[in-house]
Amino acid sequence: MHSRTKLAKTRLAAAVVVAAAALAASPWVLGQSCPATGCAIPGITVPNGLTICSGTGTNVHDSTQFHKGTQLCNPQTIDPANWVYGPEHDLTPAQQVAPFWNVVTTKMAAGLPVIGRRWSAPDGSDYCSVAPYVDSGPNANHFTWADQRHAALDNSSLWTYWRSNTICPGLTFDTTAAKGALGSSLDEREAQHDADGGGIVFFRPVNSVKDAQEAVFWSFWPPFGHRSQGGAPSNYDTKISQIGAGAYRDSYNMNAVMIAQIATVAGAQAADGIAALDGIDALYLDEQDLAFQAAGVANYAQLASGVQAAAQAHGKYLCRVNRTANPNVMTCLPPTMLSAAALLKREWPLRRLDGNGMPMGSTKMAGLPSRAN
Amino acid sequence: MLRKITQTAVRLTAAFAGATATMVACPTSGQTPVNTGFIDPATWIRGPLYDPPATHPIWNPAKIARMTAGTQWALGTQNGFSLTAYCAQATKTSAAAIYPATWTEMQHSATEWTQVWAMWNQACAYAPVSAPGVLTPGAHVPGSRLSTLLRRDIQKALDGGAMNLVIPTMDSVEEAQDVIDLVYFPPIGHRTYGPGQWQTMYANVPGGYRQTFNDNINIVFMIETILGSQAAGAIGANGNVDGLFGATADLGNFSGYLSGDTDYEKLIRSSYDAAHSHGERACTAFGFQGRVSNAGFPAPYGSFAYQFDCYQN
Repeated sequence: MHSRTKLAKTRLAAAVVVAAAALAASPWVLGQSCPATGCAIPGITVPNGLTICSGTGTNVHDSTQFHKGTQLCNPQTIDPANWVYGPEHDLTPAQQVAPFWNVVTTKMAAGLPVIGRRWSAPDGSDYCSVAPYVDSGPNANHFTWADQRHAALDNSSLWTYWRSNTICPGLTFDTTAAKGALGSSLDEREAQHDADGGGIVFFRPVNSVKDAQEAVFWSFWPPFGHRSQGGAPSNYDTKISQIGAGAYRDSYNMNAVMIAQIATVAGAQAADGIAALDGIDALYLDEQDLAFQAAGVANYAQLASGVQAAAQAHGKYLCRVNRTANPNVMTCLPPTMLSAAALLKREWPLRRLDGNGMPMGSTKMAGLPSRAN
Repeated sequence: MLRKITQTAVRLTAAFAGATATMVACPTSGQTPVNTGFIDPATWIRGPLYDPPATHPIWNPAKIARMTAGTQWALGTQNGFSLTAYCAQATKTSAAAIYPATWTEMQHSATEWTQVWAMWNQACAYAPVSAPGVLTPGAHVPGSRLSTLLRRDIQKALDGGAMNLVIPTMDSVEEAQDVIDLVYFPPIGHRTYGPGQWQTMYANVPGGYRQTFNDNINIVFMIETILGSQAAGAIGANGNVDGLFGATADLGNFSGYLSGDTDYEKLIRSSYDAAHSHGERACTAFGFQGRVSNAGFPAPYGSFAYQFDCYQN
């Protein structure tokens, strides 16, 4: 189940098994040398898990053993593969068990469905209509997602809404749905700006395991990821203080949610590896895009089933969007609710397929008369 | 972008070869083709268009500061969109340093390029030096700390008038070379030549903007990560970089140690040493000006008196 695994991976796991590779490690490896199937590079794509200082033989996270002001933990040549990450962002025992400050993480940790709504107006004029948090019932709404992929939204408008807890009349932090960002790319710029702006639920389009690794790489803090520090939002601070969680910098990794959007044939074919990644909390089966991408080249139904199976096999959530709803509604179900029987009962707009497993109408579209007629 | 690195290497090799060939073989007539063989970057002899003047005039005050040993220079930070606040940063003065360029923040801000260009298009944004090569207090140009290494951002910054670029989270020699490729005009790099705000801003610079840009652009790479610290020496060896910036907050973020910890000192020292060992400027946050490390650190990190050259402020 979704839990505090990120924290464990980041801070406590000395037993991380890494497959490879004393490569000359750099993000360049992700971009060029790392294959589409992904790679496991200690200190880069996976934490190296080291906690014992080679200089002193002591545990760097135990202040009674290691004295950071007078001792050097890392006397060796600087190298991510063997750098012992220091204690500055450690959580206290009390902070480690404090509640989550992202309601979506709270829901996921409890194995409950999470539901969210889309907004897209460039001036943010539709944000407040979807922003209210509704815990349950037919209008349940736990997160919003800003559609940066198919709308003209940019950060100057997004930040205005994300960084305030009171921009919508009558709403507070606790009555506002978690802030999500459906990004258009995997680059550092977008990941940085979405997180700095106050986003906490991220959707990234991925076509491979490597893409998913890159999404995680740029969106999470070190040593789990490679997010740069500076200009972090303050709108979570009051809540963090109320619940006794670690500071935003220190507790962000265990609160942020990363959802991999599967919208292509390649992405669907790689779904199992994507779902297996630590840092990926859910697969978003983009039925509309995947159906059109698959038309004529692959069997959509088979691909969609594969995505569902991948989520279930790796204990990750599966998200779908009802595009007939206005605004669009995304529903993310826990793996315990992803039984084949349950899935078959659901009515998804693009499950209406023709005999070839293609979306209804695609054959007709291909046969449209030419303009000359 | 990094996928282009192989091509980049080819281009650069070709450019250097071409430049050499141009010096020895370029005819003066426009009627006779110089390049008579198959078109190939490896053998293309570059023509004389946009050759810099023989005097190579340096008109960028940030570049002059970089070239003047002992100068303490700083970049005024503009975070967000404000025409008046930008002017205050551009014209900032201090007894502790001169301010030859700005640090228009793009990494950790929501500022868009339309807003940046508007700030840079003001009369306050550019004050020329009194003469080429002369360190002129009060002279300044626009500059930016970019969000990442995207061509999109580099192109927009330069076309908007930036003459000082700070590139964050520089992690590898390959990334550094990619940035060089995107920033510099041919034959050093691959920057495209198009209309921009620079046309009016730098219409009267000595030697012409296009001809002298490669001599005048000032580039500082930020060393913020374990990766970057590992590669700092090799990154600094790139002859087209002007400074290495030891990041203060992000070194802690990426390492798990903060200023005051011995391991942190090892990292900030690595970028500092890498810069100076290659004749470049060592930059950092303004609060580290005059920094002397803790006496309690083990050798060689204890009681070290840094002599940084440039700062974010």
